[in-house]
Amino acid sequence: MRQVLSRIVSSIITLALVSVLAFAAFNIIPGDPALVALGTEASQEQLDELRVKYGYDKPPFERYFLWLSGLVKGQLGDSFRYHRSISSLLEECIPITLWLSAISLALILAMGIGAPIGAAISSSLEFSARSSPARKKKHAGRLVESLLMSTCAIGMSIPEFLAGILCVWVFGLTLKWFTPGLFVPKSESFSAFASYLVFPAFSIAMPCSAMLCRGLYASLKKEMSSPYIMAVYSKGASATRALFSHALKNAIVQNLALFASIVAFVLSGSIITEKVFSIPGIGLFLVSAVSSRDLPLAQSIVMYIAFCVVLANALIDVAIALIDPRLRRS
Amino acid sequence: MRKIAKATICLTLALAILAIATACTPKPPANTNGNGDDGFKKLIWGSMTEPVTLDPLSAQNTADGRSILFNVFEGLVKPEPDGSLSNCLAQSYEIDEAALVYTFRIREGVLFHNGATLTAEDVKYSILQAQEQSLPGLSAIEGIDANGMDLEVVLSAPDTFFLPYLTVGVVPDGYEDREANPVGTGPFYIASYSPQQNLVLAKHESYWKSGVPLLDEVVVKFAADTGALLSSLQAGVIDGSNVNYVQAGQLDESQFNFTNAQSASVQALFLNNAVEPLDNINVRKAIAYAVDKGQIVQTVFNGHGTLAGSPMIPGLKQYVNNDIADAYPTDIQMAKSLLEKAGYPDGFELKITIASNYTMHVDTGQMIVNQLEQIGIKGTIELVDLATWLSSTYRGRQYEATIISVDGSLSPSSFMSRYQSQSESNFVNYSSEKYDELFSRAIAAIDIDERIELFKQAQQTLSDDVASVYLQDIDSIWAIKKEYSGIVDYPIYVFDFSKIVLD
Repeated sequence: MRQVLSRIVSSIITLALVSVLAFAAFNIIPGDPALVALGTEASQEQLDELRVKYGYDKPPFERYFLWLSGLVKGQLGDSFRYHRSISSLLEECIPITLWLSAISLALILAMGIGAPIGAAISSSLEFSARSSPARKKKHAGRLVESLLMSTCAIGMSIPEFLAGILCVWVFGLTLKWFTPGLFVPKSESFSAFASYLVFPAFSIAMPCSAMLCRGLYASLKKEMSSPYIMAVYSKGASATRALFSHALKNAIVQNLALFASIVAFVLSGSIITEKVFSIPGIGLFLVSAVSSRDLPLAQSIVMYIAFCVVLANALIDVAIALIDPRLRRS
Repeated sequence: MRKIAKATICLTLALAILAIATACTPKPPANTNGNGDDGFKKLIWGSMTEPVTLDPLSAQNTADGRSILFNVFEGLVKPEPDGSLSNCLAQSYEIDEAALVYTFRIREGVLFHNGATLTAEDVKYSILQAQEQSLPGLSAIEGIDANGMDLEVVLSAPDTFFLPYLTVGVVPDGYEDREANPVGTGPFYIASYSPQQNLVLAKHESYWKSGVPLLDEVVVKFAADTGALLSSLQAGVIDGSNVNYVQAGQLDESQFNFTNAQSASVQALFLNNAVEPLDNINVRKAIAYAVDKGQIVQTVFNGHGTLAGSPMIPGLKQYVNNDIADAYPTDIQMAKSLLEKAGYPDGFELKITIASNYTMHVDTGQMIVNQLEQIGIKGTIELVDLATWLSSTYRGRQYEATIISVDGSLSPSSFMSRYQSQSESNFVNYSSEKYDELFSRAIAAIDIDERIELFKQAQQTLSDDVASVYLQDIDSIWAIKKEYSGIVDYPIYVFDFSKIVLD
């Protein structure tokens, strides 16, 4: 209980720090929001009028606390750029990013857990090589392993934007499995909406699942060669049974922290991927808000992203504590 | 434990299969033109920028935004493809001899998108609102009188170029909800707007001009960047867009028609006339002699541009002073000797500030840096984002040199007015009494030949003083699928959707 409380307090402190940084950063960068809004031919009076309207004539301290109090009350104010309330904009774009994240996470789990298990099974004879010397199979196992490791290395080293562009090119323009740019709103057709998101989700999942895959495979291999697995074998269990019933759980626990950072990364939205695939989620809005100096909108989105990251980390901490009894005590 | 493991495997496999299945399901080809059996005719137009505002009476909009709203709002007069003005919401008009009083007869039977009928009061309200919002050119209005279908506009000083400013969009009298629910009289009305996604224009069924528009719906779809725009065009998600020559080269010529149009803006290497060493006319002349415009157009733009020698767009043919189009032919020796005369025999360092979102200006900048190197000027390019450019470079005038395209309206004075010494938009800090006098005489001249002559002299002055190095009007290329036709090229930057036909 005390642990949960202190976790909540530290999360709130983190968010408060982020709010200071977000506010300061967006107020330090050059570029006058009023000038961007009014364009090149605006007169001084018009500029001043707009600054007063949005409270930009007030000192930064006052503005920060006004913004913060609005944030706490859930009143985010109006966007400069879109002339409407920020909450209505967020209501539209957050679900899109959440769906994209959900599909990405499903793919990451499928690939990042499925692949190492598959590889472990096919090379499981290597783990138990000491009990049954099947040399040919051992050789095949090594091949699977090196294939998996090199695929992971490639997956991890491809930068996000390149992964996106590659997906557009391969699946969209060459194989024609989807139509680049044809984002369909959820309200129009859910299946078209979801199937469009599969490809950007795949490009997000590529590096993340490679990371998870590598981590999990390494842990599995270590577990499978540890003494307790020898004991399992000696009781007559098959390699598959040793893997699923004993090694896997321990291997997963070791990778939960890695998974937490992946969840936080995915939830915070992938700005570049959204841009490459023209998905109107928070990433696309953040880019446009920064370039048009729509400070209230940009600050709100940054706070949302920070909130997601903090929340994901806190939840995983709790989950690890629940799964791993050693941590519960300490 | 075993059960959990099995369940995990089944779940992950199921998810993987599901993912692959959804991915592989053959989708019907993107039915983008919507030209189904019901005869509903639709165009999906790609745009890289969103309109900043949907209010025609706000001065905030970008050129792209205005070019789209051209289809939704109309003024008393409307630009025609040949550069002239035709009567639009005005049935007829008269200008008194002193060019002070403009009398309009409003067209009968024009309906707004909300069903209201147009009267002179609506026009009066719109023009006054636009004046309050500082839309260009309207400050000269002293009074407006509306009476039924008659409208009288009185100017404080004679201005023979006033008419083009009355293209300002008309909204219903007292209508304030212009941002959320825009209402105009144009061939299309705004059916919906989803930020970052699209703007839907639907046919105005009771449009006053019969026979147009020919399409039922135009969806303006926003693309996040040039790459997304290009892949959308290639995949057929959008039917047409304004593209640059690089993108045009990557599109399939059997599927698209290309129309070259002038962008109605002049790209220039703007020099801050108030900073050292650019305040020295010989230095500016040396730069003008060193910059090879022809090479820029050929190399950077693959020939898609019209050379310019003054801020006046080449499209306004009768007003352009053709004598100065090539006043400074590339001459490295001449440039070097001018630099020596100015006291910089070894050149100097020059920082060129460019807004990074304009790839074409950045590419041009790199070319210019190479060209200036030949005379010893060490150019460096400083990339800033557009917001910074607007506040520091344009408004704050804190720069040495910059590259941008500057647009205007159909009125020739709109391209020239910023060079007046006291103009708020004189971001090059140009100052010349001779120019100020020529310009004020030009806008007051009632005789058209005299007016043209004075504008030509004003351009000559700018060229003699090398206010900046004017480069070209960059072509904008319209790419549209072959089944569409009816693209009209205007001398100003607009997309006229009303005349586009789908076969």
